Amino acid sequence: MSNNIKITFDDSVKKDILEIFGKTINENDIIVEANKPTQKVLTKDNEEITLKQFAGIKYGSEIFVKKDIVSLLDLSKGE
Amino acid sequence: MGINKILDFLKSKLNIPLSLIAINVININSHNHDPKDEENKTFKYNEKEGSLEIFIKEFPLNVREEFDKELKANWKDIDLLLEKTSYNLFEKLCQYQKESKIDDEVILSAFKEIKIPEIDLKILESALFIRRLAFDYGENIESWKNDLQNRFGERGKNIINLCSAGYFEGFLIPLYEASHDLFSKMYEDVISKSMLAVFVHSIMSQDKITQDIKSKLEISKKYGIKFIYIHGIGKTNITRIKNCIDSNEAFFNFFDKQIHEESNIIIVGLTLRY
Repeated sequence: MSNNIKITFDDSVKKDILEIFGKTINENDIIVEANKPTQKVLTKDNEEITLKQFAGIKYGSEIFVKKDIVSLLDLSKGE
Repeated sequence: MGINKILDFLKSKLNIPLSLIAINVININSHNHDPKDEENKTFKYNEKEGSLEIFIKEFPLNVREEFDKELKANWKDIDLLLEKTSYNLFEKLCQYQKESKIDDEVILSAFKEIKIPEIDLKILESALFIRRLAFDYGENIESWKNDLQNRFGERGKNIINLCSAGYFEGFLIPLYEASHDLFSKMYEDVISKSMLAVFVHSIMSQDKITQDIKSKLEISKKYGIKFIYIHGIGKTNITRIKNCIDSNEAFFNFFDKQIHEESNIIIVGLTLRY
């Protein structure tokens, strides 16, 4: 039954989700490692990602996804 | 399964009735601004949608800490954690991948073979999806268009406009088939300057419309192209285009005009007489 349950999150808890995964944001709102704030989190295309652009995380090497149609299209193709 | 564990955890800690079985989505939210009662402040269940909304900022501190640990511990089974609106789009995109979309695939593979820049292919693929959302499902696509423009600037906007109006299959593929050389010369001006068409939008003045026509025709003339199309969607833009033609008679007299108007769409074809 529960195998098909999806978990989503509201825009208002983005920071909380990042904290759970050991990330935070720097003074420019860019997502960084909480224990090493000089290290930026990158998307699979090696782009830095701001809190506003953050759409979610995919399991694997913790793939961070940007909130735009091209990134989500790639994700839907399993890329 | 891990997600079952999370659901069991929530049921045990938040007074969620054990009878709730039809849950498709758990959405993590912050505060419950409209609780039914104080006891059920931490969650809201929507039976019709099969959705369980949990308000983590209403959780007792110890429950919140445990929840964070559960989420992290079951991460492998969760697999994908997306913000709600992104998830809705992601679902549509997954559906799009499964659908038969031969027309879109033919266009995309043609441009792959032509070897247009990789970034243009990515934008084109998204533009084809957006076009399908608009034409087949009647969805409002403005936010997705803005999305592409925000990320890819003028190039993103031009590709989506040209794609929506059918220029990729209607003009660029035939152009490539007729002359690889001319295609190579023209492609960049078509994509970066949208030289073949003026797409009228809600904040465009009449002066801006005629100015755009003039500047784009100047580019087109380099290639011996003497036509341009004006596109408008919606009553306001249709009226704006018609008013522009009426009030700039001297300018538009240089062109042969063909006006196609159907429901809420207008396309004006202009061909230079000289």
